[in-house]
Amino acid sequence: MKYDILIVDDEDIIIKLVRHLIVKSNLHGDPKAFLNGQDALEYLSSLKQNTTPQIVLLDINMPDLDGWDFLDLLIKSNFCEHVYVVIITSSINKSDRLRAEKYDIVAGYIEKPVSMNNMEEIKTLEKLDFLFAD
Amino acid sequence: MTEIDTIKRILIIEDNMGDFLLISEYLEEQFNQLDLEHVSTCKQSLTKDPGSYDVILLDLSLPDKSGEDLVNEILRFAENIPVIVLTGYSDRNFAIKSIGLGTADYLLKDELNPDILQKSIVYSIERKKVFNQLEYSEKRYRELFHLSPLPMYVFDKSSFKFLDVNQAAISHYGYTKEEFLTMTVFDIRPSDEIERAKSIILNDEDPGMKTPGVFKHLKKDGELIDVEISYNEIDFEERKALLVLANDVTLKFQYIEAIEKQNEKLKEIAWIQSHVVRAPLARLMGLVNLINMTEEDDQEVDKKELLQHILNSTVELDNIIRDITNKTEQINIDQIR
Repeated sequence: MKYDILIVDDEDIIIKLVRHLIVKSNLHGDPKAFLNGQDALEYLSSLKQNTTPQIVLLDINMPDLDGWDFLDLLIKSNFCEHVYVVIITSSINKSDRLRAEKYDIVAGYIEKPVSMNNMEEIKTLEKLDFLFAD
Repeated sequence: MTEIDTIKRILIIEDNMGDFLLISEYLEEQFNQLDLEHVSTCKQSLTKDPGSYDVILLDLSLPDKSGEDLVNEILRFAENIPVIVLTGYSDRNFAIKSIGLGTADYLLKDELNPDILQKSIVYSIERKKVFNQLEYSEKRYRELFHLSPLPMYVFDKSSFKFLDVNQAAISHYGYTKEEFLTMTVFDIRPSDEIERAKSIILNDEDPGMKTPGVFKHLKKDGELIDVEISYNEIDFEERKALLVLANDVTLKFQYIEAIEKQNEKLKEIAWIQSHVVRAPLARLMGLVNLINMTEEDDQEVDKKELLQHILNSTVELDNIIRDITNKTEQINIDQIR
């Protein structure tokens, strides 16, 4: 694979569900999963020399470090160059969607529940076009 | 039609027949239409209806009454009808004094002639008309102030003392009029608002109506109220004064505050709906989706575990809905009433 996928969600069952969909849809064979944002940031930071694009499927409502804080820390860091975020949230608030659009690093915004269609949607996102244009 | 052409209804109170005849002769010479009535005592005149005359001519010495008593009696009887006093030269000083009592004019019998009599009558009637109109409009304005349903008061701009208060202010603030008149406008304010009010009054120089906003006022029973003030400068008994209208908006403010609180709660509920309720719901939908798409013998998916998650989600959802119901019940705008 020419890219990696990270799932960041505080709910174990959602990780299982999303991982299942990713594998089934052939989006990726072995996505990595993190139950909180801090762990995911540490992992990304350890990839500093690695130029493989990292797609982060990010939950917003998480205890301690929520999705917004995660984004703010990420764009301030020096390891965000090859990171692309797709927000996956249960929020249906317009204000959350508008807030997400303000981040350059955010490539997509998906409202839960996640389905197979969403996996196909990720493949067509404009900012991720270069990864899937075969 | 000139004043001389309109019908003149005149009551002549005169005990000297000779004088009466002379006066009526002069009147007939001057006025085209006359309705004369003659009485010779004070008692007799009081039996008449004053409203049926345009002017009353009064001799100052009658057999049953004379001087100041007579003038006062006839003036009371005449109400709004002008009274012209007729007198001999010896009573001249008193005649002048009678003007101060409220008579329209005095005429000395020795100097009387048709022209003087005519001018005095026409002039007295006209002046009384204007005077009555003025009095009426003054009364109207006084009523606008005193009968206004909104509290209003007038206070001296330099001593800050109340000069007048209307009935609405008396019943709203709980002070009697006499109490108000010994107080200043700062006595109806909490101490921390006095400086603000003082600086507005002292810096008031431009003419016209002003609405400096909402102030805290203090009722006699100690209750604090919010009042919206509007005021204008007026001359009150030759003093620079401010006429103030104080509209109690306490209840309005309480409603606004309650509505704002309600909005906060509604926003909170909307946030909960979107973030908290939807989380277990979306999870449920995802789980059902997952069960749907896995084959019976898929080893990777533990259906028992999925069912447990579904059950947990429904319990979570139930708790959240109870929580929202509690929050909704906290919104109670009726408490204000």
